[in-house]
Amino acid sequence: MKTNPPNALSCEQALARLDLLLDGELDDAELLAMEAHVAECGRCRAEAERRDQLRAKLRQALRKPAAAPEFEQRVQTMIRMEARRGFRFQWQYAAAAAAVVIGLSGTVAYQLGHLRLSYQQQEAYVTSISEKVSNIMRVGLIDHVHCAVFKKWPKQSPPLDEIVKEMEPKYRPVATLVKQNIPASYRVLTAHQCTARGRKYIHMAMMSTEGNLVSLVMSEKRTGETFANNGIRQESAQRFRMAGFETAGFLAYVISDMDEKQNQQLAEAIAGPVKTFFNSLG
Amino acid sequence: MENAMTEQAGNHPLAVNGPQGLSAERRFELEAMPHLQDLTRTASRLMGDRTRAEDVVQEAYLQAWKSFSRFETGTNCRAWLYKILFHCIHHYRRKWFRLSVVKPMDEYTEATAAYTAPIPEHLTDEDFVAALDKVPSDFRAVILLVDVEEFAYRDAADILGVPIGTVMSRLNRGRKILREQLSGIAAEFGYGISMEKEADA
Repeated sequence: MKTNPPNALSCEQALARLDLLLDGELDDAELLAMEAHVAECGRCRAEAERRDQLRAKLRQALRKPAAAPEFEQRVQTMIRMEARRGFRFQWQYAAAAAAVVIGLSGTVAYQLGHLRLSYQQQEAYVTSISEKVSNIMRVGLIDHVHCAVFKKWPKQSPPLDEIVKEMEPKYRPVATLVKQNIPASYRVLTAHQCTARGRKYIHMAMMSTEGNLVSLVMSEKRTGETFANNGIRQESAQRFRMAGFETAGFLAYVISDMDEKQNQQLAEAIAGPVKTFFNSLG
Repeated sequence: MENAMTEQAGNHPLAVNGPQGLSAERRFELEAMPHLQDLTRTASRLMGDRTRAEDVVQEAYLQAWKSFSRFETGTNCRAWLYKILFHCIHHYRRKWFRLSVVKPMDEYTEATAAYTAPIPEHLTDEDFVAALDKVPSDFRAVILLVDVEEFAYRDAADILGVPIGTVMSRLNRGRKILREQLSGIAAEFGYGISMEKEADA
């Protein structure tokens, strides 16, 4: 134990304040006194290092990803659903109700936004419908169902420049491009960035005067993902018609409840400008 | 908090656009969702298993969303979420089992005025997790908040709804128990940590 000059801390006093020092809880005067003591006293400095090491090792041991991507997605979807309607969990009935919904889905696909489905029922429906298409098409379909079909859209839409505020500025021009290349009767419902099942999307949804719901869904390519041609690939599942194309870095989908020909025409009208725009982003 | 939690999301006053032109949902996504990992980590260590931890975290986020209109943008969202989380954990425990009440230690100064033994290099991350799990839950909660999540004492006290002095005494006692548990684990593997060295001071 060292000999202390007048007004300096003794080792006993320093030890009593050591945790406060390491936790950043000392005021300026105490901090100066402690720093002076620890700088002079090897034994207290070693003790500070040991205690700091314990905290560091504990943090290292515990600070690992704790939440699985599926759980994160579950919470996000729950908030999204809550944001649109005050829904209540009905866990005990979810499985049975989902089965009923899936059974009826062929005829009620576009009324889902008006049903008060629980999160689990919606997830079950998304899983069911996405299993009917190829892996590459599933990427787009999941977001369309999650983010457009399950929503109840208002009869009036805000102006496009208001709608696009939920997009990063660099992506906003794509909403105008799409609007310019589809029939004027289509109303833009949303243009935003979202996440579904751990994957990020750029999503624009529109509705025709006949009530057809159309999405342009885009997602960054992951390794190996490609439509393997330069044209437009089509698939269908129940009432959903899908047309997929790609830019240098993104997969893109036009998904709707129109007939195959109409959906294809819409995709052809959008694909050129969208490809040019996204490829110019680099 | 109870009052805040009864607000219905369907009537959310910020449901269209908040002060920054973003919808409440988007602001919640930007401010609250990045803390999901932290809350899940803390809940996992306090609830003992992942399923129960996810239940309380999900409930905490639901309650947070319902009272999001009361959250002031720019204030400490993480501390606010933790406060809600601990409310949910407390509620969950009261519902499912009786908590063993741990009385806070008063001998704060006495217990910290001692030299400690070094932590053996051989202890793994899993050993630290196992040792922490053996620390009584009230003490473990404070260690998680201060040592792992690096909250200030004042924030930890606010989150737990206890005085700062209680945070300090629980922290001190909890760290001591943690060292004892690590020492026990080290001894099992013959690493030779000895808490007797503390008496060396």
